[in-house]
Amino acid sequence: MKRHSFLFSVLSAFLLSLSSCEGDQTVHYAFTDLDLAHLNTSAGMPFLSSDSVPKTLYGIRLSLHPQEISRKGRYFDPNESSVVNDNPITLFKVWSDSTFMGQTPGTILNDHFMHFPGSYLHAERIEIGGSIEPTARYSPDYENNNFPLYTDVLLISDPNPGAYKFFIELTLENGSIFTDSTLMVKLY
Amino acid sequence: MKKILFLFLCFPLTVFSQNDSLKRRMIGFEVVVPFEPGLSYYFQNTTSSLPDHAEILMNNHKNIGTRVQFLSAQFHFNDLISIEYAFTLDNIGFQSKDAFHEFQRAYPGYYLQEESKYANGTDGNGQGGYSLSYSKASLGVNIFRKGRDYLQPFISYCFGKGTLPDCKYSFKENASNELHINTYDFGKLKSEGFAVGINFKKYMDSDDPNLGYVGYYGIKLEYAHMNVFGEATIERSVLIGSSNTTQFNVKKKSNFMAVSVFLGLASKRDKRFLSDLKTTH
Repeated sequence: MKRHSFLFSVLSAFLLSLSSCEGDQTVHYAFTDLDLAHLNTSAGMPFLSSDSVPKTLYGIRLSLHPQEISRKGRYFDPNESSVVNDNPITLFKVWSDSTFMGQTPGTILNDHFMHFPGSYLHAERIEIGGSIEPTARYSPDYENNNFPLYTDVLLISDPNPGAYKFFIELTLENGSIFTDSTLMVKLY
Repeated sequence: MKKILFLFLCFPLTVFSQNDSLKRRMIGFEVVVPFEPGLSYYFQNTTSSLPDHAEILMNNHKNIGTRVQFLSAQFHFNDLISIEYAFTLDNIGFQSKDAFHEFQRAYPGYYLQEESKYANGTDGNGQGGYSLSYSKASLGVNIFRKGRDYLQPFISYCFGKGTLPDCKYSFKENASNELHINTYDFGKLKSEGFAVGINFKKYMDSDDPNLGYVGYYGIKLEYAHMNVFGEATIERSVLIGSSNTTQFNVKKKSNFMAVSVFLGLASKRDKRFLSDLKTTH
């Protein structure tokens, strides 16, 4: 019986080693910085905009400057390869330095935004104290660009028309913090 | 499973019919091999009870040229009456309209994102379309016989299932970032209906007296009317608000006409072939 178990273990290990030879890549990366820009979603998909945007179509693009840490395997299979953020975002905060929908400047406004990772089917509300998980998976060019160069948050509230400046802070797993602010934007 | 059962049922009966007494030989047995190329024309209409969204998903083009393959077995009684059981070998796929573009046309106030090619399977972009698979039990009469040519009208009761893939669509309002995500869960739908048609068969000459079978070929003209029904749900999730699930009844009618040719094998110990037996024994 012991002998059978031993043979079974050897066979399993052999099969596992064969499956790992398949060549799918495992890619590790990390974000290195944060830059913010205005978005307009009037065309459906968000696009970079100037300093004046319809208030119900406003969004913020977070450029995340990903950097590859390691890549193992022979080829990238969009369905099989794993893309791992070694230092994921653990806390997301967005606020404004002016009164926003009756809330005092500096109040966390996470619940006024949704995270758009490139697919509306996978868009999610952002909770206060919550986080976001950027991914490049929904990009048509995922096979060639495996890391999310940017991710978007879209405004889902209807604020009073006016000029606003938004701040975003990302806390990463290792404790590092990226902060940036948008330029002043006129929401009309 | 159904097909395996069918084969197990068919072949013992066939052997039985070869070795039975002369009286039993009045009962003939035929199997139509699964080869029925032909021309099918589908025309369909949906009832107005469907929610608009589901209507789009279930609406289909009129098809010409769809292949329908049946495996069927016929029993003949005294060269006059025949009963038949047949079932489709695979789903009869109805070429669906591109639901994505249909939604866009139907809801101009919304933006639908064309999904990334890697999202297939999760976005369920209406792929596969609506399909039918069914069985039919038929009653036929040999109204005309000339030599080895037969004309056989029949009427069938059809029953089976309709399938529509579950799918998910997102609708973003053009005027805002408000997002609706609709998840359609159709499950299994039942189908029931009837078919009428006529078979024209030509039996081949049977020179070999030891051969228990005789081949035949023919042409079939058929009209079928199928009702597809069942329960389905739409979960409408509004990202800004709460989600709600709507259950609705699906009712759909499918009509099609098919002209097909077929090949079959008939048990030779049938009354129709008794003359062969007499001359050889």
